[in-house]
Amino acid sequence: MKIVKIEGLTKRFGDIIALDNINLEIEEGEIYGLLGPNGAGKTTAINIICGLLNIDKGKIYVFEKEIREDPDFIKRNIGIVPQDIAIYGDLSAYENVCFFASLYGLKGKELKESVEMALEFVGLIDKAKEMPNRFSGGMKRRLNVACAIAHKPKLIIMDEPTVGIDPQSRNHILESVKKLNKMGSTIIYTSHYMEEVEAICTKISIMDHGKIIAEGTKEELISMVTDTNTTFITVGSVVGIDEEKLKEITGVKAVEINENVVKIISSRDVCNLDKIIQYFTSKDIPIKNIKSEIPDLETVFLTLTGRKLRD
Amino acid sequence: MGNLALLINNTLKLFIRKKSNVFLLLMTIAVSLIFLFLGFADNSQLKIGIVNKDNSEISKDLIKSLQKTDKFKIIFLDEKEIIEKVSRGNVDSAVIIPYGFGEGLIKNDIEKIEIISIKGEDVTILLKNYLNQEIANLLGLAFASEGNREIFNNMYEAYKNYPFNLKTELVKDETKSILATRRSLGFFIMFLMVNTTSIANLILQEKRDKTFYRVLASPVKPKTYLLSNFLLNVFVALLQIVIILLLLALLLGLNLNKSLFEIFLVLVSFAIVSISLSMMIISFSPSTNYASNLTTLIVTPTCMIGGVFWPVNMMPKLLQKLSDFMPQKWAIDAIDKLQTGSGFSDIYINIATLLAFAGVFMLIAIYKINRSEKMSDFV
Repeated sequence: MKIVKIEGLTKRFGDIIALDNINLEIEEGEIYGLLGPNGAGKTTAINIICGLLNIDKGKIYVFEKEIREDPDFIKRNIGIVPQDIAIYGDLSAYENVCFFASLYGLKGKELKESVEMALEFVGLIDKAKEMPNRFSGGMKRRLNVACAIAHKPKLIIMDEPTVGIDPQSRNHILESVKKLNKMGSTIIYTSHYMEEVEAICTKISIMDHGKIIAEGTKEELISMVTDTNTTFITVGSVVGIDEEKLKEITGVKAVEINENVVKIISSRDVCNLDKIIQYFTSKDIPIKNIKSEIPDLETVFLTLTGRKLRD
Repeated sequence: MGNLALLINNTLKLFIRKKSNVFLLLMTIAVSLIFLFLGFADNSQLKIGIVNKDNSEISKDLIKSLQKTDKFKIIFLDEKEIIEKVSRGNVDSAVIIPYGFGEGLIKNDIEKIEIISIKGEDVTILLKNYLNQEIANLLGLAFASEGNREIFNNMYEAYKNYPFNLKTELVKDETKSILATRRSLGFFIMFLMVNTTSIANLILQEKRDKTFYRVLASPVKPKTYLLSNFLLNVFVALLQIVIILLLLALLLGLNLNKSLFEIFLVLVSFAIVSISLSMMIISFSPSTNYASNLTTLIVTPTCMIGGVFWPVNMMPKLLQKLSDFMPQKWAIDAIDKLQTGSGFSDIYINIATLLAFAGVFMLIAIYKINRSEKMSDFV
């Protein structure tokens, strides 16, 4: 089942084109990453999926229903974790989750159990009666997540949920995303931290200037921009190294020697590191350091846009 | 309906958990009552300058009757001094009894007494009441004597010697009560305007804290959210109106009982204007601070021009015309009318005008809110 299907979506704010002819499909059960720098259009896309913004052009289907067909049903089955912490400082953690969950129609015992479960899930059950004004940034972020999941939505949208928090809370949230996915929710996860998207997402779209410039799994995206790995080997002395012999090793495409560093470029689909090391040991050339440069999403973004993600 | 009740309950919870909001509500009632008590406690005598051009026995007796009350201190003036004394505040008001006043009165063709003041109705109404009462009695005698001087003189002597003072002691002077109630309700109206804005401001606060975004991402429609704030505002205003009217009418035994329900209607109509105005203010305001400043900028001058602090008729003609565009004027005017014995038939135009103000403000607010899809709100 396609949880979200977007066809030719365009959204303008005055003269600014926030989304420019976007097309994407999100299958049920995926953790779908929207990766892009600030202002790429990720939040606008999310606001449109949530029914908070009107569109200028295109069609959007959520849970296989056209978005204007049954907005109540769609909203009822979506949980949103906004980019900004959206909680009431003057209501306790319990009251916050309870209020938002009740807006989705939960009542009585079901409401109480769902609220407790959500607080338990984010590790705040012990702080249920405390006011969020006294919480750390990370705890507020976790409460922000709890408010979005208490009504057990089929689709959870997390818009940069880890901005400005400590590593412990970040790991907690990333683990929560995986758990929620295992429990049956489809996740849309936006971030400009490529490490997060690489770590948890099963499929990724890279956005820039309101357009989707690439889509696929992490491996598919990397293979779009390069088919090689680069290995840097630092040696005690380069005397006796035969570049031609190194090139004869399976998969090696090019060799460059620069002072004490030998740069070897190999095909990505060939594992040849053991043979390269064997060459140096057979020549009694001491290896001081080995560094492999594996392309990541940052490389992909840089290659596709000519800019870094956090520029 | 379910979400509407949830939203009202949540907004009420947020409102009362902020101590400053509760303080403001209590202060509204307290300040209104303080002004009421101050109005009653003001027992100082009014200094009345008198120029008696007539010098007849009747005019002298009229002045004596004023002196007999403990309300006025009489200072005899020369006509040339009047402007100077009034403008310098040496006297609160000046009275000129014209030539032939006594003679005219006997013939039932009275020369009008002139009252000069720069302090407005607060001062002159009391004086007018006393003079009107006394002159009305004398005119009654003149009417009964059918212009016959001898009959009039006999009746006048009898009137002077008859212990009418017993009767006048029984008549309750409500002038002060009317003025005090008017001033008290005037200040109540002003505070009501501030209070309604503080509740409407919660919308901006929720926008700032992004909870507005989360609420709208749930199956709550924007109009339901706005309606919940409006209804809570109406509820809090109703509560304040009921408390203040009960305190005025029951606790202090003021003469509102005859028109208590009508005054309630006027205040509720004004509260709806005030809430609509505050909705309009927040629809134009990007932040809570901006809304607070805009409220002060609107409330204070419109209260001045609308007759909350002083009577409209003591302002220049231009401002008097301008006051027709101030909802406060229509509310105060209705309260004045009701206090001086008018009924609903005399104030329904005031109520209709107030509701028209509310309609216009609300339409502008809805139009503005519907059109605001700022990029900065969402991206």
